[in-house]
Amino acid sequence: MTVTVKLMSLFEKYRPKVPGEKAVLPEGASIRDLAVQIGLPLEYLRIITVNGKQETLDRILADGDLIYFFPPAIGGG
Amino acid sequence: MKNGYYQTLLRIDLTARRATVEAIAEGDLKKFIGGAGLAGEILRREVPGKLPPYDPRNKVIFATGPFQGPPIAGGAKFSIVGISPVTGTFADTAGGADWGPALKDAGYDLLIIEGTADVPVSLRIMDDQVRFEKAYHLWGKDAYDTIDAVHRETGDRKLSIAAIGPAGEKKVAIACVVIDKHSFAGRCGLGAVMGSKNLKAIAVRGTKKATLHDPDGAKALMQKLSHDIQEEVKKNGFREHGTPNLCVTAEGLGDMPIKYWAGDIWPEGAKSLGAPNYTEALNAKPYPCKFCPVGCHRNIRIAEPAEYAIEAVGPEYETLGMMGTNLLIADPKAVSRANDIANRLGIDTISAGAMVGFAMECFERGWITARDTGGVEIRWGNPQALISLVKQIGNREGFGALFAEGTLKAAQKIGRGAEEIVVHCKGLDLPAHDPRACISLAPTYATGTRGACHFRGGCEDVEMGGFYIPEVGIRQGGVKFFEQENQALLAAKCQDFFALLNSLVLCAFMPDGGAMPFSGMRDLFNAITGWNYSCEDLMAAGERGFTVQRLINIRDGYDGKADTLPPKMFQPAREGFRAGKTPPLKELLGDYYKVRDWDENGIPTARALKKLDLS
Repeated sequence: MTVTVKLMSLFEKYRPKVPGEKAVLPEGASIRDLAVQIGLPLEYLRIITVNGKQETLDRILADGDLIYFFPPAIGGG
Repeated sequence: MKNGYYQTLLRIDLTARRATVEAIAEGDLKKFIGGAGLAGEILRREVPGKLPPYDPRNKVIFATGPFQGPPIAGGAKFSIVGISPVTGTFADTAGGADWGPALKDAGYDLLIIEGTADVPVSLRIMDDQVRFEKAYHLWGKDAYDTIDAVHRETGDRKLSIAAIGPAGEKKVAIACVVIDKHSFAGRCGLGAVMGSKNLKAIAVRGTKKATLHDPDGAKALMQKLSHDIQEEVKKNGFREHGTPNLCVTAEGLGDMPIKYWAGDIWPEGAKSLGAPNYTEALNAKPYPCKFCPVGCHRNIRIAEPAEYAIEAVGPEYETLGMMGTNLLIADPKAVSRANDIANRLGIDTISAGAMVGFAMECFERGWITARDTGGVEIRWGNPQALISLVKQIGNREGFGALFAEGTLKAAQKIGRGAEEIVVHCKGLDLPAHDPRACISLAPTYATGTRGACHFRGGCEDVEMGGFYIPEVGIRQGGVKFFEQENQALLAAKCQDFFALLNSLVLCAFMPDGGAMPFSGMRDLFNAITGWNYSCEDLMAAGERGFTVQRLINIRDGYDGKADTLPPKMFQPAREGFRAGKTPPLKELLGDYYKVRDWDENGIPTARALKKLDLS
């Protein structure tokens, strides 16, 4: 399956790992699998949305999903 | 006393030009810790009824805690407490740089300013010496020039200086206190209260060192905590990018204000204003307070274009939100210029941005025109309008003078129902976090003891994954966006935790960003004081301080009826992450009052007060 991946803010540096913002994954892959494939730091993956809804790393993905990875909101002052 | 305190306060009566030294009872320190907690209780005792903010009987209390003095990461902080000209009741605001440790090293836990000088004065405090100095020649100078002048005239570069700019002198309600040209005790207008007392600046230096219960244990803990924070902020990007790292995440989750809270999404604006673009475009570097391994403040250098050229303290997330996306201005250089002007004039950049946003909306609606504004087209996205209006607000001149008593009073003068569009709680403009996105902010803002404030809670950063406090049950996954469950509990616990931070006094960015564990904070507190407090004991002290502030507000007429949000917070977005969502305030407040053990009018029950040993 192919999913669209948006790497936000300080995660922009991982963009070369998802050319054209697309990632190809095997059926049944989870967000965690996608994150590992990209090389994102799992400890900072606290805010993830899929198709506009907040999800956790264990969510199983489907073809055509739109995934946003946000870095944590550090220092809201 | 081997407990990290001097148990001493310095009282300055400006009317009589008298300085007296008084003892602080250890029992008060054990109950309230210090900072805004202790100062709030003193304000409650010494200002026993509602008072106009510029009445000479109002006080400005500068307060440290056990974490000032030793070289603690995040310990270069202090609180300022008084009756606010913005809200008319309790206010606390915090500053950094070097001033808090300097007051402590002079041998004082607190400094109480009361009365009014008959002519402009400044204070110089060096250990046991207190000098009242004429400040005619400083009156009218901006805050930075004032600080430079005091350094030059005294020849003492080691003085740490808290000063006001022209805004404070002219009693602009949102006037702040500027510390060492570096940090800004911004919200609630206590700089205007200083101005009303004819007090231009307080310069402090000390040579003492408070004695600690377990100096070796404290030293080892300080070193470990500082090291761990340093490693964390290197990894998570906070050191390199500061608070602008938040912009894109906040906008993406619907938390950042757009078009004075009427816009839904603006990813291009957030990306332009936020990190990493901010860091590169502004040549931004960390600018740490004393002892700090984070360095959240930014030093920026803009060479071009000439109209924005500055080398100064850069805007932080809040300012990027309120003077940037809030006004549809995407250029971080323009926001930096306006920020620098506000800093020098000495006004709160959050409320200043809110005022300009409000004015832009009034202009769009035709409620004000270029005839009212001296020819300035106050239109969305116009950086010249921002800069012009910031100057006028800070100098209390032209159209900007309309805002001298705050946004709400300006709206009342404009009429036409303009009050309905002001985004405030208890008169204080909302900061750059949206309770429609992070609904734990709804009860936080509504019950905020100084009005709408994210930084007397920090729950939005928990909702957005910034930090957790597992020692008190605040963990990842504990709340979900837009779902009511546990949100009121999160709001109350975060308020108590931040009230504790402002009592210690510890910079909130040590836990929120630096991942400093509460348990480490507790261990350090015990090594300093020898009091063997648990995390629960410390949270109780935070809750006690928060409740005293609530009691002051109730006394002054703010009970549960004032626990509201402005109408715009009930208008949902049409698109974006928070599309269709508004906070269920009534239900959240119901949960919140139960958590707090307050009655249906928002008054703490006798049982709740007894539990906190308050009356």
